Amino acid sequence: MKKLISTVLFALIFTSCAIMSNFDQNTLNAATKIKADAIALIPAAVDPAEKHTAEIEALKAELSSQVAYEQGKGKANTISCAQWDLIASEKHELLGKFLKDWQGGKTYSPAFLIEEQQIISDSFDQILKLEGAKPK
Amino acid sequence: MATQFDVKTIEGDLVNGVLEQLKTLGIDALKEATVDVPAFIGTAVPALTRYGSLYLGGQITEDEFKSLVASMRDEGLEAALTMAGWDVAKIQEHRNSIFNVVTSIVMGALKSVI
Repeated sequence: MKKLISTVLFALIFTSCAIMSNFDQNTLNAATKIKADAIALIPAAVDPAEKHTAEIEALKAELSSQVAYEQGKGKANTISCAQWDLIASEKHELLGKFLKDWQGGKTYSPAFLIEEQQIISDSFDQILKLEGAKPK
Repeated sequence: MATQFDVKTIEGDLVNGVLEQLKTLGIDALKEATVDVPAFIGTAVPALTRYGSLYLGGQITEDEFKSLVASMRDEGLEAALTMAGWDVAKIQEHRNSIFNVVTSIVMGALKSVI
């Protein structure tokens, strides 16, 4: 009987350690909003960044706040964290790098911005897909 | 300006780039994840062809072309992470089922003691 109880307790402890964070409506809402804000702002990069400093800074603040929120969920949220890091990081070639280069003095052609907009949109969709598939 | 570019070569570099990046992330779950390379290529090839046409047509600069290819690689990485996450979510679901069974056994045992 003791052996059975310890086996059951072990199984309980083992199975209660989540390997994937649960679905989070806040994350879904934030990803949807930040995606919309980014998509709306990207076409403006035909102009110098100085004309849009307030919007760029607001978007960067939203991004970094969300990355911190996702990191706060701990190890079970590692994969989602990596996704947010990719989008926000200035070292990768998604939204964070785009905003950095724009503020660094670059401006872009309309054709480039249409394609960039699509890539950023698709990247946010990946975050939304994963969040939607998490255990509820 | 270059008059030719090889989509197949860029595509191969892109896939390898994504796979290399996955290795460097060091996420345990990714070891068991299946990266759906054909699905990624299916998305990447039309986009790369379009970027090439825009570049050769003078609508985007060489820097912009390179930036789009690099962005496409990172988008592929996002997609690979999603696939890895789906795999982990399935394992989690399985573990949750075991948890429910174990919980009901323990509760049953407790009730019989009480």
